[in-house]
Amino acid sequence: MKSVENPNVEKDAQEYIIQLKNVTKIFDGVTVIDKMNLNIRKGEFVTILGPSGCGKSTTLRMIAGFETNDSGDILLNGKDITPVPPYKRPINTVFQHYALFPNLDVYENVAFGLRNKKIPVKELDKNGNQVMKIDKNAIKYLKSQIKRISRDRIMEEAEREERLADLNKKLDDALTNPVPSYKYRKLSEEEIDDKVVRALSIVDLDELEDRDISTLSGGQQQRVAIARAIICEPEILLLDEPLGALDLKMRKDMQIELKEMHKKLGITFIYVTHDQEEALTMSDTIIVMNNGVIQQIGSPENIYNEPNNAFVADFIGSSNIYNGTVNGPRQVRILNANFACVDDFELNERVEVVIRPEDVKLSKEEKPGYVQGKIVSKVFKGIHYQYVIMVGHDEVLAQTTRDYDPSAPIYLNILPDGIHLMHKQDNTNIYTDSYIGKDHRVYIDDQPFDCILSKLLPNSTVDEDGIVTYDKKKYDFANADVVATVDAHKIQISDDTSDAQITCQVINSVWKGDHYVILSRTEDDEDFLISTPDAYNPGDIVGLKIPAEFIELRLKGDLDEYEI
Amino acid sequence: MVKKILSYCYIYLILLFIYLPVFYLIIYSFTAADTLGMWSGFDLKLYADLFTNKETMIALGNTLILAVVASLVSTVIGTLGAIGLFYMKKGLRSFFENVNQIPVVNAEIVIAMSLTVMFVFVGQKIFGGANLFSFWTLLIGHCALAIPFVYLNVKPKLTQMDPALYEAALDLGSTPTKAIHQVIIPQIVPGIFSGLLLSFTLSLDDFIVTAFTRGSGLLSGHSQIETLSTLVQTKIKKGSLPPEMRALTTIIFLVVLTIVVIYSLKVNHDAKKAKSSLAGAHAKKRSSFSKEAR
Repeated sequence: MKSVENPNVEKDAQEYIIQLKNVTKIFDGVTVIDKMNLNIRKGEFVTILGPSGCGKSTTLRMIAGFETNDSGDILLNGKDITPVPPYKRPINTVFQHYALFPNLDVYENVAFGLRNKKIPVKELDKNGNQVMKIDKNAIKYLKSQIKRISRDRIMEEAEREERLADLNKKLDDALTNPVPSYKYRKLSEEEIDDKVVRALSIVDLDELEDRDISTLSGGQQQRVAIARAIICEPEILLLDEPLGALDLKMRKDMQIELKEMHKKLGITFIYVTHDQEEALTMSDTIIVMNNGVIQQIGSPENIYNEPNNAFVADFIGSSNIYNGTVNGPRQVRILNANFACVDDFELNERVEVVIRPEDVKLSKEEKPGYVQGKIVSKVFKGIHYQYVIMVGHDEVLAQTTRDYDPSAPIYLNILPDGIHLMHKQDNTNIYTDSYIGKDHRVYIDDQPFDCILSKLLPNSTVDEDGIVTYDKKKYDFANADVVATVDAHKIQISDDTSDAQITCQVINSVWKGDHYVILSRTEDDEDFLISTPDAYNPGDIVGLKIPAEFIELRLKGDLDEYEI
Repeated sequence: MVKKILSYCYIYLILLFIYLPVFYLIIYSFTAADTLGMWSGFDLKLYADLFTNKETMIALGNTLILAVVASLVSTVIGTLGAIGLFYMKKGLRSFFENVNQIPVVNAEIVIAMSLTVMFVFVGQKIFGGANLFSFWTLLIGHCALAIPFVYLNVKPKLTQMDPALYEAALDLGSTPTKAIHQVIIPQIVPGIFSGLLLSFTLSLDDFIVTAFTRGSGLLSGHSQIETLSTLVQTKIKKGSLPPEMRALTTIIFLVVLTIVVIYSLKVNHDAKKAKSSLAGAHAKKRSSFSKEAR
């Protein structure tokens, strides 16, 4: 059954253990994963990182087989496993709340997978020859694959026809050509015992094999869950926020242990978390996701130092993000000053600039290249101090071990390699320091805008008092820090400022063929990018309105803080 | 102090109120007097009469067969329904939950009447005017009565359970059917058991649905199926309550009492056993392997 597809497929299959190709998942008409493409190498420790509701758990559940993708393929070693049920996939999962079986003791929990396992044995006839039978499993697989692809409405018509023809050919093939048949036998008690003992010793639980699950601590339960998952020697271990229920100290220890276990076992780990620090500590590769779309794939260093866009920069650790303009070769204007940088962008391009708080250099005395600011807050964080410094209208977050007097003026500088430029994402306004007010409206640039709070959590509902209900829990988001995103062509602009939500001055206006992209700025230096068919001149004072349904919201920080 | 005494008095008064009549019943089952409340000396005649009275014995047999079959059938259907609903989408689930509530709060006479109308209708329209009333209609009636209660007993156990257990079992190689057996059923056994007991009792003393849906069959042969409740009703209609019923109800009470006591003892015993879990059981098994190897 050699396929006549291009040779790359085979090469990919050797290199990548799991590949997602145009995978789409739709829940009740809402697309939660949108044409996702992803390759994961054998033996890698991959972390899927993103805020709650970004689709990371859904991705994991599709790989495990608990959810079926509505379109696209999930390839395991080059073979599409979409029609394969979870109990037949060589993939095991460590669940978020462990999901240990309370009616079994530690030993039996770990042995559970082995008791289901069946070892294929060649079926021989009386003369010792291999018995040949048609492959029922392959037929079942091909039939469900045909059913799935003929129902797929997202796939291109031509591709569907081609694939169906190929599958039908393979099905005919399987129906006519018998293959060596196998019998299956269960593992003996002794074999099981052998493996259980080994798995328990890997997770350091040898002593506790007779204990009831309910008598174990959180960390011990965690270890049982891991032992239970690795005992079947899966090709991939999936971990769905497994450390979420542990306390901080325990979490740190388990991070190191998991990493060591990964080295020892040599299998692929796919880890899902919303904790950026965890992701940075443990992973070989991080996949940052938002709204069902992959934002960036890269090594921890790469993701931290060279974020692709403002979302990634903001999500991976606290950072300063500014709108800037390239005003010279390797030079950018931010904080009302020119700074040298390493990225070479086009002159006059409007860019987003990311500066990590630890890259901000502070000084008590004025030095060339330093800009003056005023410390508005100083917090001792154990290893370092965290300062919030106002430079003009811009807030700068800085971290340093040095102690500065908050009442004295401060001077700050950023070295070229601390400044990271990103192409501004087209026509999208991202406001990373917005917040939800007590009136349950979103404050962008300290101006209130009506918004739909249920956008903070997918599939949630919001009542008249602004209380959001999600998964039976209620949340009050008053004072929550959020990131607000508004598409440029959803902002209504007019000369009439009397009923506008916010007024600003037009800075520039660029004709983009069929519309203008207007950059306008408020008195507080907040930029609004607007796309409109009407012409406005630089210097015009304009009024803006944003309809509530077009303000997309994302929560910063932990969701649990807002539960009521 | 006074408060404490008062609170004890309160609970004992209630218990007295419940158990005093039963106590009287037991006492008066050991005398042969026909009229209630008369004591004509200690006598086991009522018990002897009970077991020689063919009519009563047939009714008892019918009642037990019906109760056993009906409670088993409703427990299976109710439990599977509860598991299915638990893993259903939210909207549809709450719809079915509400639908399930209606028979529970509904008057039994409505269930009985509607079943009768349905059986007559189905008999006429589908089975060409045949009379459907038999043991089977009676069984359907009792199941219709008991299934919602089984569901209500099983559901809380499911909600206490971690819903991910089912997926965990699938993940570890169990087929869906196996996963239900290996993981879900053990979690909800107490609920299933109390559902079984409840449906058994419901069937045991049901009168209205029985009277409406019964036909001929079981131990009654070609005549109408008599259960204990319908028998008592027929007797009362004709005259006074037959005295051997006192003996029968005493026996029923004692049997139920024994079951409850055994059950609670078992629960206590299990709880103790769980605390002092069998240390070294697996090690012992392991040493048996090494002996075999030698």
